[in-house]
Amino acid sequence: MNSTLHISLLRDELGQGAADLELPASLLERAKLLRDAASMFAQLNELELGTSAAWRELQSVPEVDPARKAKYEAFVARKQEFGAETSRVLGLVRELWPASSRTAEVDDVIVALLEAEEAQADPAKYRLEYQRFQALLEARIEDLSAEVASGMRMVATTAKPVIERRKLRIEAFLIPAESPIESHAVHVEGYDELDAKEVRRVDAQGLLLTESERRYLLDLMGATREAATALEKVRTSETTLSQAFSGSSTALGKALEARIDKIQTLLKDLENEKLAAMLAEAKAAFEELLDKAGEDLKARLELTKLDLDALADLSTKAREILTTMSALAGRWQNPADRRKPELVLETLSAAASLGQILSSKDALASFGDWLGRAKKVVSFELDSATRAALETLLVTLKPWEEMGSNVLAEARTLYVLLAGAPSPPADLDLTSPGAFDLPLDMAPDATIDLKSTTRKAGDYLVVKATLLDGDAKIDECRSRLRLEKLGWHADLVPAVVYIEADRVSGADDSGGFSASLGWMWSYGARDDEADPYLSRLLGWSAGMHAALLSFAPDNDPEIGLGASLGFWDGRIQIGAGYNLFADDSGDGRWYYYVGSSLIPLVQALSTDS
Amino acid sequence: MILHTSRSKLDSALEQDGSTILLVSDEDGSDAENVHDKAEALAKDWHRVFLLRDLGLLTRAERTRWLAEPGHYAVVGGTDRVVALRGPLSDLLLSNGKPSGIEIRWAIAQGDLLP
Repeated sequence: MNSTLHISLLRDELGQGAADLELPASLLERAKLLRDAASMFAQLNELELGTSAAWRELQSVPEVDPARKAKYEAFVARKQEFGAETSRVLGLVRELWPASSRTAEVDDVIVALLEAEEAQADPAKYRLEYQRFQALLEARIEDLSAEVASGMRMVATTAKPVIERRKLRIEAFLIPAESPIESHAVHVEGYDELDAKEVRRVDAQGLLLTESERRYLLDLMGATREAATALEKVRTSETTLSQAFSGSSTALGKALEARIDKIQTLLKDLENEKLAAMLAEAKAAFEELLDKAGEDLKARLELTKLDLDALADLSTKAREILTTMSALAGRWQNPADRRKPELVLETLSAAASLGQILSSKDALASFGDWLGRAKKVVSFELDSATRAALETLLVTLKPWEEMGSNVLAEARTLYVLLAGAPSPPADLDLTSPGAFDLPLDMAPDATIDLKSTTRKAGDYLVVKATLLDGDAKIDECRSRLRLEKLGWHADLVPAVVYIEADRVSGADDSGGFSASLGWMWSYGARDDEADPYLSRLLGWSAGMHAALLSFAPDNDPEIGLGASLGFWDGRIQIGAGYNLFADDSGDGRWYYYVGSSLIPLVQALSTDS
Repeated sequence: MILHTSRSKLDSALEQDGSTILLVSDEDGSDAENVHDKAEALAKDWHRVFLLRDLGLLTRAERTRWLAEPGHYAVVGGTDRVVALRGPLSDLLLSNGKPSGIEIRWAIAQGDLLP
């Protein structure tokens, strides 16, 4: 979230200055450096002896000795110096003699020169090895001189004009997770004239919000209150689920309203009787085709593989998904069921069965493949009866394809909401208004400071590099990075909660849906880290919350403060707290709740859209 | 050091502050053994070289972060025991198939550079 990205250009790959042409010249320079290699190898030998001595000193000090730390630091410093010098010397050697063409003689001679102990033990042998090295080096320089001469000729004739036409454009874009349409260009130092804007770190404590975070939180808080109000109306039988969300003012409420309508339409379309009729119709059409088709066509269409079990399997899967959705929707409509807070937990547990269906072999995909093959076959030469049978079958299968696609789309949205992280938004066709096209010899390495743009966790940064020949695009590469908060950090997390008072005098049902705002601490593990604190497994968070209370019988608006625990990125939250406005213990002084953050829902709906 | 069924020597090396470790995973031919033998001959006092006959000796996390395939190598070093360099064993061979002392020394030097 607060990182700076450095983009290093691989100039040889880009063709800048002609890798093939300038490399020999550069190598020649380095070879000349290596002519003075005697001192280089001697220095490396000295460094090795010093590092070995520091290692022995470190080993002689017991682990508990306070002096060990200083010895360790001294050793690490020497080791790094030795590593750096070895890298430098061998880097030069590797460029002069790439491993792919290096002979064993060169390898052996240079390795012998690197061995400090051997150099000390037998100086005469060392001198001999050094003379062999010099001879090899001179031979290599002679080869390279010829390569340089021919390379320069090539530069003059062919490659140079091409390379001079080449330009590079680097652009970066911030794509908000919940609203890709609001994507905007981010300043890339040296590659555009965009304003760098104010440099602002993202606060690890989650309290000092960036503009983007503040807007997102306000939207989410509004949506959370709206959702809680709607659910409470459904719970108290004042309205139905779809009516409760009609006329929503927040984007989330409107998206939910559309979603609920869609699911209900789908449920109506896919009643069991209707599915059975569709299956019977398809079966008849399929048998008709089997009757008419010759062996060749059967083989081409893989008809034996398609048999109607595949179709029945698809309908079974569709029904399983629908049954899950239908059961949940039915229970939310039932006044007796929706009074039970455990319905929230049961709804969440449905994610497991949906996940199983979605992660199993996608029946729709194989079915779609079959349809594609069948459509191609229709254009082949078929006798009229077979063609008619195949066309009839394709027509009867069309509703299955649509049904499968619709049901799976709904199920995926529900699954993302309940159990999974959303897939990243598709890359948009983005262009940065202030981007320059830079000739390769003027193109610097690039830097993107994330702190200079509005952003929040979960957003994506897309970096696009375009290589141009004049104005024509030769190549393009894109990288997409997801912005995350890593290490210990806190977030403000709104949640829809079902709150129940511990005791309220004169009320049978003191519970109800409401909104809470939690200040939740959690640990974000890096990809290359194990799973410290079970942060990946449980996705847990812990913190404090403020909740809006309104206990029967008086239903006065009140505020409570307390502690919360969240799991799976806030999909499940439990908490307990103290009602600041309660007069006594019978006035709902203590309360507890179970609930869920709306963030996954927002992500699920925006991903789908 | 060749590890067959026990990783106790590897654990000792990992616990030894400051050491740089070259891990080589076995393969069907003799490349892994040749690279291992050459690396042991070139190793400095603080370098440790291990040929793993069985990748199952590594934990799942180590396989993910360090070495997951046969016929590969990884240089692990620094206080945090991270990989400085890894790749197929062919990176450490000359065109005639013999292990390259230069490539091995250079690879291990990348581990020495780690803080």
